[in-house]
This record gives sequence, C-alpha cells and structure tokens, in this order.
Amino acid sequence: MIPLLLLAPAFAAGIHAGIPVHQRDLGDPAFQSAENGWTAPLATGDGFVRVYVGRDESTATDWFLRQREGFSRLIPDYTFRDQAAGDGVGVLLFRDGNVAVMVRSEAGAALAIGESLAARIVDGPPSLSFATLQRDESGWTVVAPGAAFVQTRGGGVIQCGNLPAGALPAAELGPPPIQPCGWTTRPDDVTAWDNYGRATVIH
Amino acid sequence: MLHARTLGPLLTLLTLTLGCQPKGIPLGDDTGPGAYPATPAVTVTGGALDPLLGTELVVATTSAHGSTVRLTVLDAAGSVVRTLADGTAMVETVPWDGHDDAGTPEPVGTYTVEAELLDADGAVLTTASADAWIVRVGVLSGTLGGDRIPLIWHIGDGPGHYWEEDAAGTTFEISAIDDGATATALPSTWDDLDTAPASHVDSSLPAAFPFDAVPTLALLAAGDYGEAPVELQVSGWGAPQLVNSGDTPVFTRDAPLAAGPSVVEETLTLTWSVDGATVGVQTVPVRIYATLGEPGFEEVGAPYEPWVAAIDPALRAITGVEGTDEAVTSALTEWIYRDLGLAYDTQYGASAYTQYSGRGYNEAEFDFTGFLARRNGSTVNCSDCASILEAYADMVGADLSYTIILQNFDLNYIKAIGGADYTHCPFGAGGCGFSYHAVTTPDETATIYDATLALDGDDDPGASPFTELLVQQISGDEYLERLVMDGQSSYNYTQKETLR
Repeated sequence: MIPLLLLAPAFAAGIHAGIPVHQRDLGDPAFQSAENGWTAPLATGDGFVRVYVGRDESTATDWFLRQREGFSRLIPDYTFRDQAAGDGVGVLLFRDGNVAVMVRSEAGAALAIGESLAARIVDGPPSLSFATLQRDESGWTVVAPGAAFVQTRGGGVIQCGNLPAGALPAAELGPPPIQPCGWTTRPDDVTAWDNYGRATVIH
Repeated sequence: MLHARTLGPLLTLLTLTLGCQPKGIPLGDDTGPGAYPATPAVTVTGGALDPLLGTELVVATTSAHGSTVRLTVLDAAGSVVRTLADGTAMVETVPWDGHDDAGTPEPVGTYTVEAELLDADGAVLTTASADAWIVRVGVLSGTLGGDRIPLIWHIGDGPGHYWEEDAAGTTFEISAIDDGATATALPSTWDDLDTAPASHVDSSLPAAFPFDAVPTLALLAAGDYGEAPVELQVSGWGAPQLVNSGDTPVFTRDAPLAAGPSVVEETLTLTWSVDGATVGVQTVPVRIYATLGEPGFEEVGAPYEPWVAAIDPALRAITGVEGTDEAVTSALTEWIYRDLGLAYDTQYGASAYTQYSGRGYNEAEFDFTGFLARRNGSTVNCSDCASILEAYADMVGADLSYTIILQNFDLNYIKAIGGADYTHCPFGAGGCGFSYHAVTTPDETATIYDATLALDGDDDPGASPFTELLVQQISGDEYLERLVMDGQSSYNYTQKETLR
C-alpha cells in the first residue's frame, strides 16, 4: 500500500496555499489588491486582520516590512512563526513562509487571534492561474470558476442584465455566481482571488 | 371637483366676445362683480384639459339682464356631446370635465364650446364660441445634460463593486405616462446613497455638475395632443416650448447651479399649456451635486469618480464655503478632524484603511469602501486621515496629493484627531514622536493640509499654552516647524493614492 503522504504534491517548506477567507470569527473578506491581499473585521467588532499570500517567502517578507512601516509608532520585534512584530496584545504582525498576517485587536487578543489564524494556514501551491479572459463575438468575458472574488479595471463594459439602464459596472460584481457581464474592449487588469486568498492577476 | 377659483390662476383664458343690443331688454347695473353687463352680450372662453391630470376646462360666460344662456360642447363633427347650461340666467363659469352628458369620457380631440344668448322667449339673440381641446400630456423621461460629471455607487462590502453612472443616461424615467385611468406620477428621488436602484424606471437619480455649470434638461414628451398647440415649460429653465408627442425639447437652466459646492435639491415644475391656458402641472424632485469641478484624481473612470455615498455628506458639510480649492479643502479638513467621529490610534499609530503597495511609502492604497462602512472601526492613523482627506477632496473637485514626512522625529504639542488635550507624546510616555507622518498637499508640499491633528498655533509650539491651529493651507515649512520638536524631517513620496 502506498502511503497517502506520497501521493500528496510536494511543496517547498513554508509554502502555503493560504488561509480560508471565510471564517466564523471574521466578517466578510474585502479583497484589496494582489499586492495587499484581503482584510476582514473581527466578528467581535473590535479589530481586524489583514492577510497576504505571496508567491514565495520574499514577497511575503516585503509585505511584512511594508505593514510594519505603516505604524506611526515603531513596533518591536516579536517571536512568533518565521517573523513577527508587535506586542501580541493589541497588534501582532507575523509571517509564516509565504503567508503574512496582521492582527489589530482593541480587546488585547492579538496573539490568540494570530495563533488561531496561523493554525488555519493550508498547505498547497501559492498561486493558481484559474482566471482567464476569453474573447468571443460579443466581446470579452472573465472566466474564473471557483473564484471568491474577481476585480477588474478598465475596459468597455457591457451592461449586466440586472443593472439599471445606464448604470454600468466598472468592475466585476463578485462574489460568485459572477454576474453575466462582459467587456466590449479588453479590461486593463483582472484580479481573481480564490477561497484561500491566492490572487491571480491578468494584465 | 376643482372650483373655478382654484384653477383660475392656472388658466389664461382665450376669450371671444360677441355682443348686441336687442330691443326690450332693460339695461342692468354693470358695476361690481357678478353684475349683469349693461349690454346684452355673451362671452365664452375655451381652453384645454387633461382629464388624467385632474384638470377641468372652465367655461366662462356672461349674459345680459333678462336673458339666459345655453352652453354646449360640440365635437369635431358638430354634434353636441355635453350641455353645460340651458336657460340659465347669469352664468359666470361652468366647469367641463371632458365627459359627455352620459358621463362617458370624451376622447382626445378638438371641441367647440358654444354659448347662445336667449331672450325671454327662448329665441337666440346671439352666440359665441371658442375652441377647446382634450389632450393627454406627460413626459417619459428627463435627462440632465451639460457638463455632467459621472457618479458611481459603491455597492456591497468589497472593493471593486461599482455601478458607474452613464453620464449621458436618464435622470428619471417612467414606463408610461398613464395606465389608461390615472396619470403616472413622476418619480421621487432615489435616497439610498450606497446602492443604485434596480432600475432607472420610477427613480429620480442624482446627478453631478460643477457648481457654476448651467445644466440642460432634455424631456421626452409623450401622450396624445390631437391638434392642440401644446407647450411645455419648466419653471426656472427657460421659456415655454411648443412640443409634439415624441419630441425631446431641451431646456436650459436660467442660472448657474449654485453659488458654491453644495447639494442642490429642488423640484422641477413642468407646466403644460395650450394657447397659454394651463392644462396640467407635473413635478419631479431632483438632487444635483454641485461640485467644485471635475474630480481631482489623475486616473479616470471608476473608482476615480465621485461616489454618491462620499460626496453627499461631504458637500452638505461644506455648503456655504467659497468655491475655491483652498476653501473647500480647508472645510473638508475641519469636517474630517471634528465631525467624522474618528480617533487617533494612540496605542500603535496603526492604519486601519491604508496600505502601501510599493517600496517605502509608495503606492498608498486606500480602502475607501471599508472606511465608509467603518469595517475596521474608527481608530485611525495619519495614513488613514491623509487618505480620507485626499479622497473626499478629489471627489468634490479639489486636487490633493499624499505626501510622507520622514522619519523618526520628536513632536511639539499636537491635539490628535478625536483627542481632547494637547500632548507631545501621543503614545504616552516613551511615545513622543512619529516614525513617519502622512499629510496632504495640493502643490508639491508648498502647502499642507492635515486632518490628523491640530498644531499649537502660538509663538511657542513646544510649550503651553496652546492655541488650536487646524492644518488648513499652512506652508510646508511652517508645518514642519510647528510639528517637529527634534529630528530630521522632510517630505517624501508625494503621490496620488489608489482607491479601493
């Protein structure tokens, strides 16, 4: 019998698929950009998290450092996972491989929340090219099966069936089921996130 | 039923007068209202009515003392369809509701109102007549045009959910002017600032223009006017225009929209008339955002356009200020600092809604959607306040950029947003400086606006007493002098933010 372990795809150490974006103790995710990942408020209403899934440890480290620079008051180093900063009380910023997280808790639970999120990191490939732009006679469409959210920029938008006359969606209306919108001219960018927070960008 | 006196002001009556002096009829007293005229005469007045708009034709007649009047309405074939008066003495006014003697509505068309002056024996002394019309009038849509600025609604919770208004699109629309029995009311204003309506039909959507613009209003006329010379006028939007059903007359506002940035909420009054006589009046409310001008963003298209949920409160907050970039940005600075319920993060100085995508502090990315919903709360830092101020300013037509003061400097006394007291240690003991500070500038840091904090405006910003100085149009050099107690400080990374 072949051990199941041998059938699992092998990934480099510290490379993860991400963290599931829908969590009971978090509000709905808000997807920002491929460079900044997604955010969600704490369900308790007294803080929020930012989560970034990089394609490798280097991009996650860049995100970690950028987040750290965003504090008007210098926050100290902290010992947690691969890299961390904060005090574990109101703020915890950490990186685990290619996944980086910032927790801001006004209730002083930053470490507990960080530990909980770290425990939910799912191993897998860091990125998926699951979104495509397809062209047919009527124009361009975004095909992103299983996407948690799809965002577009630019392009000549074809009116969606359920939108008001004259009211055009400037960006795709995720989450799925994705609205049957299309583009007469190609969107400049398409960013799609999956349910682990992995982003794919089509330029 | 409407009384003649209530309709009187609406009606400019077409009058036809015929008179004679039959023998044997004594002259009456012709002084005072309601008095018989001295000369036996009959006068009849025509006009037009739209039965579905609730108007009635008021037929006015007079007769001489001792005579009586027979007043009838004839259709185009000359058949009497309604007798309004018969053998009546001293008829002054009689309403006609457009129905025949059996109570059946008469169709759209041209009619004749005829008055006959009868002597005591019932012989016709003289007659008078006038044209009358039954019409069905209305507008199917209205489109505000001119220098219109596209608006977008930001819907849902996630960045990237935008409904972008077509700036050439209709402002209000109805599917039909009536249902055969009643006139369809023109739409009321769409008041949800966050979500666009499911349809333009039956909604009066907001529009945006520079405050000094003179908008146009194109109305799609509909209905059945027969051969009546129908005119349409919009109060305050130019002279009446002769229209046919299916026409799209364009009206131009008599005056610029507003004296300065504001929210213009007014009711458009559409008056239909025939030969100067009012047939009906329709009203439709509109909400127009009078901005300083085109958005200040570098990029175009959504989301770099005014968001309805953003400019509505912002313009209301700054109504009354002068229409200049300086006045508007100063007013927005104070509004954000005092009135939005924000508080500085005195624990960490953590941003709640702003992240930097690029190296250093490049490519500031502002989650304006999240901010409007306060998804991450109301505790903010300087990056957030700069983002908020830039976003609001750019949306109402001012032009601000983001700039970063670096690095690790000690502070003079400040009063942070949401705070009550001046301090030079906003993070408490041991926290008497900023690692960086984000502010906004319209001119490459020559001038600074900052909604994060108030400075001490007296001669010694490093000691009490304190004189509150909001950071409104302060020179870049003075700002650093008042803000920084010790340490190197300089402006860096001046940029436009990215909106989400």
